Amino acid sequence: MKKFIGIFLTGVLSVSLLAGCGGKGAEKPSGEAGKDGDTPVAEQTDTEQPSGDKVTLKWPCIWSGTDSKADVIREIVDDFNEEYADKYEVIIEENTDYQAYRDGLRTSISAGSAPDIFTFDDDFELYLASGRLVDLTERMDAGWSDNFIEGALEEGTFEDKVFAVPYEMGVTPIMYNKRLLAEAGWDSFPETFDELWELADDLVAAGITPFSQMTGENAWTSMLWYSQIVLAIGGPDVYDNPEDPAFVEAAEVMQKLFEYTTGDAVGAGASVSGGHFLAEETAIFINGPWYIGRLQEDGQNDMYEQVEISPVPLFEGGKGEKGGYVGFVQAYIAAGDTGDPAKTEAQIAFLEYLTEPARVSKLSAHSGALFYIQSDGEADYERLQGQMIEQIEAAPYIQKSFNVISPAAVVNEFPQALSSLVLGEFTPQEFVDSLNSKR
Amino acid sequence: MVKSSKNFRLISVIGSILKWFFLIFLFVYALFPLIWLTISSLKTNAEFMASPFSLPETWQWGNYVKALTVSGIARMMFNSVVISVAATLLNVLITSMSAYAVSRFEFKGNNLLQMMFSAGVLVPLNALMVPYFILITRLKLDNTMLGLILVYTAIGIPISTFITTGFMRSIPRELEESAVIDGANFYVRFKSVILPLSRTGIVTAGTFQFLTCWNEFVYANLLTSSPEVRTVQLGIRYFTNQFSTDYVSMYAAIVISIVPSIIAYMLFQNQIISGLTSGAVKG
Repeated sequence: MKKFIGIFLTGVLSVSLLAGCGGKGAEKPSGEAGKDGDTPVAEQTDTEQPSGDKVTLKWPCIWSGTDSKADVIREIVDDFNEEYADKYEVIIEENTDYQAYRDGLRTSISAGSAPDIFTFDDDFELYLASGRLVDLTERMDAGWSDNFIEGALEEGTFEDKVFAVPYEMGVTPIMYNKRLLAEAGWDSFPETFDELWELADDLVAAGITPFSQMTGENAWTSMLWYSQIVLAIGGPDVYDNPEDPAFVEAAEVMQKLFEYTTGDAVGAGASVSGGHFLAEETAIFINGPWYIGRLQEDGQNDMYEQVEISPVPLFEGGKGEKGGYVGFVQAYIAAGDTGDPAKTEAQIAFLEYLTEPARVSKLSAHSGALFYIQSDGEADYERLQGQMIEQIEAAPYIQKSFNVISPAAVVNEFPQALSSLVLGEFTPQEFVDSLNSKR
Repeated sequence: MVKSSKNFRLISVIGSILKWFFLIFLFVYALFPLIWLTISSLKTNAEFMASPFSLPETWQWGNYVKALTVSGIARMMFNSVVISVAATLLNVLITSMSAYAVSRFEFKGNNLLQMMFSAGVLVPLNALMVPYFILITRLKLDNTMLGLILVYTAIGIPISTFITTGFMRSIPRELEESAVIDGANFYVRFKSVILPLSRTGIVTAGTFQFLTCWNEFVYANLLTSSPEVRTVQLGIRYFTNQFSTDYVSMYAAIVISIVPSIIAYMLFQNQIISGLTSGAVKG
């Protein structure tokens, strides 16, 4: 056995030291990656290194692996590489674990470097402060800005200069299962919170748990509920004053919502809260357009067909308006400044390519996601996606969610504070104080 | 007399039942997560969501095929083996020498050095991300296995030195003194006396180091970007993304990734167990 182990270890060391250790992992042009998402990664590697004068851009891409946007993004990059075969080449570096991607990106920025192309969802100020973002203003003024829906570019603008492209739009309407509502005797979603409580009682009477909630991980679904309720009570300007009584009142509503949720909601993660809705164990849920694919693939008993969406009900006496929506930039795209004009040229060329309306329409139709790019008029939207667009267009306002407008420390505190609130350890006032103490 | 014998037999049977009940309970308690993981890896996602604790209607062996082919986990496992073995060997080579110095010799700053090794155990790995990132990228070792091997070797030095020092300190000084009388120099004493007698401690430190390397994710994700050099932990997360997770394929990948650890444990279990328990009887 000793001899065997000795030979094995010697072999492994030899292989590692002589064959592969010092060599850089072959960086593949995305054109070699599989288009169907099922192509083995191991087979994506037999490609040549980027050649001579060609400018190579690396893109640590979160839209890879099994992500719903992965296939079309890969296709767009392949087309770009083919079209600019003599000049530019984009290499996708797959990053499927989002939290790890974020940590890596922040580390890279802190270390004074930024990837050639990258996406982020918050902390625009952090990336801006690094001084590593390519200024896109000149090309925007030259006509590129026509690709974007009105006002969108303000989200990526600082002191009249555009440093990031607002790309994916996050909206988070209420999703409900009309089959379960029908079992409770309802054929439409409530328009007011008073009606919502009546519906909840009727669902309970019919043996159905009304709401999916969670306090584990980042408490995503429940945080969206809190955002919706704060806005319904305090109106779209509520975030201007963190001491607004709407925050405390919304916390009281959250306590009541948790009386109508599953027994495992405290400590539950996204898979649990979403799993209950997908398994038709709960009737009402909040999430974004990216969840449509899950409804289609993982919903029990063809439940996708039963799902409809609605804006949050009106809160009686609240300042929110009927149809008010929660929305935010789900993904910005930016380019890391290297000081090399040729690279900057390539980066902007690729970003323009990526934001071309026809390509984005295809990406939207394929993934269910919504974007800040003008439609090319030929978009074939999925049913729920179409409903969201209609509701967005009819919305009197679209305001950001609580996590987007809050500092990271508040966002990190939210799950724990919410657990304490719904377990009765915090009063609604203490819940709000706990969050405000982190500002 | 007969009655007393019967009572004794009854107590003995009850004791035996209780003992077996307790052992089976511990067995199930220890193995349940692994069994649950394996069963879950053979379901569909819909089944997993609907009833996490039931048996699958049809055993989905395809999840394993998907885990092996789509994520390229086989290649990543090979990378993990190479990186973990190399980083472990390098680590124990360095730390056995450092432990020899600090445990067997009196010199100025020895206590401070030992304190620094001990303090190093307490430093959270995430706190070192930026310096390691700068170091490795400036050395142009990012996206290479060598870069990861060096980082893993370094981050394991405090704990390995800490463990090995304890073992080396327990070796009687007389043995080394006898070797000196026999004419053994510094290197011979280290190689022929101290190293063989510290084997259990070195294997213990090496086992911890190997498992740390095998399970490490943060630095693997930070310092590598292509599948040719990425490790198995990144392969496992191939099935998760920003908003959804293919749980069953991920669980299949996890089960696959556990196998080498189990094999390594089976190969070295004698050393590991004796290493873990020997401290209990040494003065």
